Amino acid sequence: MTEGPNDQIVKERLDALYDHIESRPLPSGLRDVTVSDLGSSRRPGFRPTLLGSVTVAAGAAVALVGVFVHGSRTTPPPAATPTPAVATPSPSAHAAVTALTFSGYLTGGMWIDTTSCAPGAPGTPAVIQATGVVNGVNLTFSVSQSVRPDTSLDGQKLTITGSQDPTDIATGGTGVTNFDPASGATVAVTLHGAAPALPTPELVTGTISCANPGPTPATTPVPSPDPTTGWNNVNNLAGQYAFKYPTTWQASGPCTNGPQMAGGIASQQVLVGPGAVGCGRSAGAIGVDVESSTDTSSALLQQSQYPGCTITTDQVVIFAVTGTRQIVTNCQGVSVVQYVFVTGGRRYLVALDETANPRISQASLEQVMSTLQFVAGEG
Amino acid sequence: MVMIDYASRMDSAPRLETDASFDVVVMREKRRLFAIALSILRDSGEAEDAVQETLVKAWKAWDTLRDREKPSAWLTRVCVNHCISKRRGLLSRGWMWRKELSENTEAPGGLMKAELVDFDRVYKRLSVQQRTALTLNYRHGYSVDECADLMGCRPGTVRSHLGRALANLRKEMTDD
Repeated sequence: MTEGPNDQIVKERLDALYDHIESRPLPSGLRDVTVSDLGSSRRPGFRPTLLGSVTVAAGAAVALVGVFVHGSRTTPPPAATPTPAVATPSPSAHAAVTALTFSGYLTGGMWIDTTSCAPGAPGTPAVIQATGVVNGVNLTFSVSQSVRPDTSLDGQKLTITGSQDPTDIATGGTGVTNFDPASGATVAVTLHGAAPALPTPELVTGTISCANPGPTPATTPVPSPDPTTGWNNVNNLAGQYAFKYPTTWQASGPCTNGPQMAGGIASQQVLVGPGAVGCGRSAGAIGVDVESSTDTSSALLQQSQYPGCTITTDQVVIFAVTGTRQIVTNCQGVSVVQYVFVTGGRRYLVALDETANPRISQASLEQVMSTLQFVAGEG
Repeated sequence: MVMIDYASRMDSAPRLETDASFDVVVMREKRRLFAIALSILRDSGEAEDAVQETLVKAWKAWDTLRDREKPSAWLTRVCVNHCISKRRGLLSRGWMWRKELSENTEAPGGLMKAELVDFDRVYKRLSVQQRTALTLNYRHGYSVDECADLMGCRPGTVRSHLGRALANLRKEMTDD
């Protein structure tokens, strides 16, 4: 470093600060970790702080359990990792209520894949319930998915992808997802490999019930159930925005000590998610940040920030406001989803670092985003 | 391409044998990695996550990593990159930090807590890259070329980060 004014003071305080940092005791999660912890847990899912729990995560495709009711699907489910999956065809076709069975091996995760569960007539919500036993732990998984009003799902595949917080599972909450009748159906329940009591691939068994509420006249559209019903509300008057988040999540904020941050950003922020435990713990939570700016470009993720990674940019419309969505993928485990909206002289930045908390998926973010509203407030 | 002899830089850390067990490496490295991560991120939880992620990656890659000559350099690079990448998208845009300073009335170096808190606030205003460069170069003694290798950027970029970091700190001290 070249010498300059105040260098002595700067050095003294830097030294003191670093001394302070290095005097900090190791967190228990690091202090106690040993190779035996790593060795006895699933490599992809190891998180010492989660030991003893079963965590659901998106994207950790490890094992796949395929279940087919009838033969509308001609291709096998996506290739699974090493362990065998057992598919049990059901003799019933287009049954009103179809019970599916699944059986397979858990190697850090489990996917339940179902097709053509005959959810009903056009406009009828599909309800899928799944129960399973993983290493002696009973899990119940329930998902509601609206259907396209002009198309029967009978004989088609219902796509539900996403992750489910274990607490959501226990309470039958929803973990929706993307509905894509064109690409097929996948009900993904990924049990993260953090459960330490799974020393070897465990046999997973259970049933999936696809409850058919019965056909309804095609000419009588039925309102789709709102999966966000009962969710907690965030109404940030100062930030002039509102949204909902699942009841099993936590919210921090609004945090108003933003002006001390880099760039002098005066923010009205809030963080939500299973990992949101304070304003300082943004990782693992969906963060909403409001700035006094109308410049979108400066908030966009740049390729130079993620060399070698793929940044997909597209336009989205939420609450009649067109914004920009960016998704960073193929990035050595780093995955970031960011939305930028400019309205009312403000710039809204919503972001999720998926790597920080595998319990929150892009699907979860999109569902929360669907509830976002830009509202007039105190300013 | 600059060839760096990390072994000479690891004076303060136990030398890692190529056949060292993972357990030994974890025991040796986690304290140093946590200090680096905490210096960069200034959030204990985030730093813990960064080190955990680093150890997980190391564990997953251990079959190949153990054959490398200097796992310390690899671990440091992974940890640093994790810290930088995590902050790029989120915290550098203004997410909050949790106060890290304890309630002690006197901070290391004889500084009173208030002074250290003030300086910590100034330090946190530096960009994550500036903090990274400062931590590695000033505190841990890595050369500019070594910092560039660890941060995945050019030496000139590191110099720029260091220069700006120092300029910002000087300015803040002047303003005080």
